[in-house]
Amino acid sequence: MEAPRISVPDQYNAASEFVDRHVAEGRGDKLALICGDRRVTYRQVQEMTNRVGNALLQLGVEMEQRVLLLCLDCPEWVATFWGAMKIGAVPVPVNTMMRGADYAYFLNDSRAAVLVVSDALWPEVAKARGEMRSLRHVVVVGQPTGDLIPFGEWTAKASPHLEPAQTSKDDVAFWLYSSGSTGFPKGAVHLHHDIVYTTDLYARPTLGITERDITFSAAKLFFAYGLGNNLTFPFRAGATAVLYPGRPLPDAMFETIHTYPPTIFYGVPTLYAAMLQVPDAERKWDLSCLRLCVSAGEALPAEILKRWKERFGTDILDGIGSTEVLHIFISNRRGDIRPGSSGKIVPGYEARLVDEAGKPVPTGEVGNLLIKGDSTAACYWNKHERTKLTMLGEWIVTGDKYTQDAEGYFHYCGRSDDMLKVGGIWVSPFEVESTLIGHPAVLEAAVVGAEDTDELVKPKAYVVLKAGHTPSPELEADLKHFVKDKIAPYKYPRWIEFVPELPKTATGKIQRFKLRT
Amino acid sequence: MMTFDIPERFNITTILLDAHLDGGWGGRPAYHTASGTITYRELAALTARVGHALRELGVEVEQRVIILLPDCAEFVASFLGAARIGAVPVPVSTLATTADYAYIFKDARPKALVVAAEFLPRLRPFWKDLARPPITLVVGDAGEFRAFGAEVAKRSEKLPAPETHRDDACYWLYTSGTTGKPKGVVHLHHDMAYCIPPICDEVIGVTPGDRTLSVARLFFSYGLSNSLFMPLTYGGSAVLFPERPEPARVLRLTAQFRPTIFFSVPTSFAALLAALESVPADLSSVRCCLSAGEPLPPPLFHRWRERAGLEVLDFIGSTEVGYAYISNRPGRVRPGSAGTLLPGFEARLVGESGEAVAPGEVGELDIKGRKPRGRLLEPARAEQGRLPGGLVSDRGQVHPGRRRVLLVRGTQRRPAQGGGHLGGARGGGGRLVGPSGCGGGRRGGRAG
Repeated sequence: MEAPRISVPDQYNAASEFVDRHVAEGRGDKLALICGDRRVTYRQVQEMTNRVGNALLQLGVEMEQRVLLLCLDCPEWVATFWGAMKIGAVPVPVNTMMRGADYAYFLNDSRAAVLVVSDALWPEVAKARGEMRSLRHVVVVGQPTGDLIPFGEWTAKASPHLEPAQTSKDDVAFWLYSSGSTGFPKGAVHLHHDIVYTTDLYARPTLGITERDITFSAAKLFFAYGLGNNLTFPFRAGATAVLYPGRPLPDAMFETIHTYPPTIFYGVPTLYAAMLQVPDAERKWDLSCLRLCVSAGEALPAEILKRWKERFGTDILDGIGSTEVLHIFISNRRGDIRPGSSGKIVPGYEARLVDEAGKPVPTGEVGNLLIKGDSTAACYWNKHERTKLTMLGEWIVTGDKYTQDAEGYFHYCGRSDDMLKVGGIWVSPFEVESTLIGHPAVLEAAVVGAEDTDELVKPKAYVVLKAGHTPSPELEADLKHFVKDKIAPYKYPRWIEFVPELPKTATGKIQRFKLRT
Repeated sequence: MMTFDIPERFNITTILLDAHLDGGWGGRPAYHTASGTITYRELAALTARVGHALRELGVEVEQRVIILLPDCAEFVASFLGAARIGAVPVPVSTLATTADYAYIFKDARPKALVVAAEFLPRLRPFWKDLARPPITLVVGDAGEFRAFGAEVAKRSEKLPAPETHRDDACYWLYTSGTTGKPKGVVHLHHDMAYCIPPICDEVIGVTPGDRTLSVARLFFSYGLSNSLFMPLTYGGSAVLFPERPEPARVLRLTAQFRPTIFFSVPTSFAALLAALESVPADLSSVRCCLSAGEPLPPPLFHRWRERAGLEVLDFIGSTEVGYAYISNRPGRVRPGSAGTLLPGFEARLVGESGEAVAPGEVGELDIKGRKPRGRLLEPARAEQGRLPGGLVSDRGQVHPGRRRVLLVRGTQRRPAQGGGHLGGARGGGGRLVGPSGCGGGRRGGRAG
């Protein structure tokens, strides 16, 4: 498969390219978004986008300045993302499952003066309001909330006409935060030209997406995966995206597919496994609309792929992408699926497997995966040392370990750090451990990944109790609840094993590898 | 001994100004100009005033402030004032054409401009094409713009450092490539802590008593370090003059202000040698002469030593690295060589495929800046008055730098040929070529 030739002009505004072009080319009345009962055409997206852009300008937002976007998937999310980019400002979508302290960090690190937030998410943000140094304006989507600016009025007053800012193809377009095993999340800085490489190198050739498609992504828009799946891919093709603001629970996913009906569904292995647990799903819901399913976030076990195809009749194309590369760069293809493998390199990207010294490893041996491609982030914001370790000129270090077989298929072998992928989302064991240690009964804790019955990784904690505390099922439940309350709930340990001591090195460093099974 | 670890919240101006004021050295001279001495206290006050003016007129963190001025106190205060508030000063060449400026203004997207009135005519032709004309402060006849003097006079002399990150952009300098348009080199707040101490401590031995004079103007990376970063890091001072560095003027200023460290470029050393034949000169104050920008031909080295009684220490640096990374050492100069690697840097000579070349073979020079040299001075030592604070080198450490002479002359692709170098040979320096100018000297392009 040949890589498509992509040429991006020097002056280039991706928001204009991905929104205005459809109206200019006569697709203004084409349905762009479906969200519950709402139907939004490309013309309406353009108008909302322009209104948001003008409203941001009126708040004093200038080119290059960041706008924090903390919304459930909805048309306002889409209009804010494109509207900020259209004026040359920089939308920063963030995870809706985090805690107040995390939001204070995102706001301070990005220096965003404007926050656009869903009404349901504001109470969590408000808990840390006092720590937010640069935040000046909060726009709320949904119910009017206190003295926050209501999104509806804010945009209604603004003009629906807006010329795109004269951005360079190399201007910053948006950031996405990426978590690391230690330290705070890193803002991956993406440029205006980045998106078009993900759509034209991956989405068009691999998925064969056209304007006849209807996409539906269980992964939310704030993930790089979800952003491509349900926004930039359909908006490149002039297709329609189904937005679902709620939690991606199995029944809701079936119901949404049955109702709307999408042609492409994007999920993560944990979700596919959970959907396969639903009895009689294939009789309750009609999934015949689907022509393709996609999986990423963690390796898809071959068994899940097999059972899914048996019950629902569609293939799942497994691939691997990253926030830094923006979307999938190694993938299985239609008609060329190797179960249990991540597939082959997406043409237009290049891969290298290297040893610790940076030398290529022989075929079949495990190496650190480096990727080269034009959608990769320019840097991590204000994390110069991390940037230098990750972005090596044209190559980017993924942190994943892989083998490549003689036929070119890549096989996942784990991480080069201690990070865990849980339900497709990164979890740092250090963060879970430091949270556990905050509990009055806990002396020490070590967190590692353990496989559940579907062979999918979840956090497991080994806990040493302080003198005077004894292990009990109540204490285990209490510890889980304690973690869920303090940090994003998906990070809590699914299993807790009480142990008298933890394996450590002579210098006192916890030997996590001894705890992994 | 405390190692130098740059804190996450860091603003370069705290090292260049606050450290000296906090150490009780505010009354010491920072600059010597034709109109008098400027003390650290006065410079800090002017910096604060400019910072306030920029901020109150609408300049925000990260936004660029183009500086188009000859070497003068307003230049230094605008540079430091912008960096102080987290904005990003962008000094540009005073020798560029309207077309160059039009490109740079579109590329840098400046929120503000500090400009000498004499340069305004070169900016007017594209002013109406700018998406957002910058807030403009004019030194001299301001016309329809704001007058720099009046704008800063009404502002406060106190300006706490903002919460810049050590990895925030600190300043840009434009460097021209062999092909294409000039490129804005983005330097961060922590960068100068890495690249000023190596040459200052290992080669020159800069002290608070030193006084620099630079033929290369402030808008060049070379001049910016010579006349701003170096003296202000060490609590020393610099001679500042707005005129073109013609040989007779340079010799007269040297006699008048008695600098101890003299920075020039090969073409200028040649012109100075010619001028020494006819102009009375007193170079007795100078203890160290340095040359960069292009290779110093050995005959020039020998003639200068005969005539002025001083070695010229030739070194290599670049706009991208920030300052010097390879230099000759006092008493161990190898004429015709650029010298040896400075501590804190790693170098490798590589072939086309990126593999290291064999010793003695021609290769392309790659440089890696490794660790910040030196450390933040402990308050106790500042109190003792031994040094005014700021950065000092950790001299007790064994430096693992490569000591052998690198064969780089005439071999690697010299950035001086197409810009990207410190640039001292061009611009002001380029005008110094006299009748006996050295044959090997290249005269570079116009814009830095």
